Amino acid sequence: MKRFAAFYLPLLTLGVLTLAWDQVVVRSGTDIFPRPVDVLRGVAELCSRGLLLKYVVASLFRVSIGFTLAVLVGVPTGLMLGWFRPAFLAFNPLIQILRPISPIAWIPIAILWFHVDDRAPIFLIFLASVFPIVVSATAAVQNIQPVYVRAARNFGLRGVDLFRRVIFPACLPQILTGLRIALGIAWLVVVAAEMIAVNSGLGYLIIDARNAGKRYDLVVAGMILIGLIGLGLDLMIRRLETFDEVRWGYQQKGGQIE
Amino acid sequence: MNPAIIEIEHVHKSFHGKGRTANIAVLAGIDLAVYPGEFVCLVGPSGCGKSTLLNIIAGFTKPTQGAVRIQGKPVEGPSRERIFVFQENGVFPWLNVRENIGFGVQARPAEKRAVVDRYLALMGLGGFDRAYPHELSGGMRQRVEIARALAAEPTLIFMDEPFGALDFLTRLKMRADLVSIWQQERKTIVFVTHDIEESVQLADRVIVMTPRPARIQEEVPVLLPRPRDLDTAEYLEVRDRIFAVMGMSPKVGETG
Repeated sequence: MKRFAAFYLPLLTLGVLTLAWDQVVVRSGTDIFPRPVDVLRGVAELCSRGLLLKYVVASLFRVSIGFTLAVLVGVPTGLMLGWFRPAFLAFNPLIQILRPISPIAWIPIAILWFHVDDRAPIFLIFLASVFPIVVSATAAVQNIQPVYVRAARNFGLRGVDLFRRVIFPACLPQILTGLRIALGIAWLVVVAAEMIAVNSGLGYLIIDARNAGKRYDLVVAGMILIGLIGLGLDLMIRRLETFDEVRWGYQQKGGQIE
Repeated sequence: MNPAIIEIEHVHKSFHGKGRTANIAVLAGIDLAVYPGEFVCLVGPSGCGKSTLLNIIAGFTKPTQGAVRIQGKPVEGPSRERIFVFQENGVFPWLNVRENIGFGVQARPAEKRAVVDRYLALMGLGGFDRAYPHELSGGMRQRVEIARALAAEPTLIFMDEPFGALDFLTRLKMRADLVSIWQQERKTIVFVTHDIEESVQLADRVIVMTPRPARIQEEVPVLLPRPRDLDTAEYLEVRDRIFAVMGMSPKVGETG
């Protein structure tokens, strides 16, 4: 019964809202705002012109590169800042000032530095995702259970080994939570970045559909695709939280063997 | 008698008070020797500094004054020759039982496997080698930690109230198992507890400490044969003596 409800209730909600949307558009007599069926036709049109796949791949490509760079820079930086107190004192204020600046505010600078090519949105995605990653990794190290570090020292671990065998795995659950937040933000930002700086991708699709003939069916189609892909990305990264090496970090108790 | 494996000389320790509070003296001149193969329990009232003393011996904390030598050499930090078993359980949750026990084993894979298998069996963890710590009960997790300590083949094992968080029956079983393993392995064990019964059940010698700032009040040898019968007059005599030294009565309802 519970599974049944978990599956059909959301479907029911979506169905009712779609019907309501359709009725409102029909009754208002608007000829600009699309009906759900127009949006479906729009998606089909994008498919047949080969644009759908192209734009989705373009957006995912930019997110992958920008996000991967952010992980490669952010995780080691966060671990270092969490472990070495002077580094934290030196850099944390700077990070706290940069962090609240919306990546959108960086757009002019991104265009100045990288012109209108893929590097500009990738740079913006990197900026958007690197701060949550650094902050979560830093906090993870600062909150590490002291007993793990003491046990590690007791077994003679130092330097790189201490990081590799104890500090990094101890922090991994919290780091993954940071990655999840960062990926969500990265996906938000790629769309915004593509509206300005490039000529492909889902963000570009939306702004282009509006500018080149008020194709609101394509605008809404683009929005729905963005939502669905965002959901898919989140589900993917949540899968990582089920691995044995990190599962301990998300559940307090459960399934104990007595 | 053999030369002492641990020599503690005039150890003092005080911690800086926070804000306007004065420095807190925790240890006030501890002298103690522990001999190879001995099972020594440090008992004292809660907060008396016995854990601090153990941390100093293990090299995690420096004494304010005095010296600790192990096998004739001054202690300068923690070492894999002497493994600490923590009350709060230091088993690594990201490793399974087998990986935890093998954590401190420095040997080739085949040998390492054999060592881990041996301690899995010895601690009664057979069949749980692929389980993760969060899937185990508190008692099982302490077994993993003890197995991990033994597998590293240290000369000394320090235990800081390792059974403190366990329920009564599990504690009794863990004590019995610890004693039988100690009899097989003959490691030197220094064991901190606030539980007088526990100390009498386990130790060759019970070191009774005073309230803070701690000094050694009395050393009580426990010459009872093992396995120890907890109903004999001899057991009760030793137990009551320690209660008396600590200024308490073992009888509930009596004010000491």
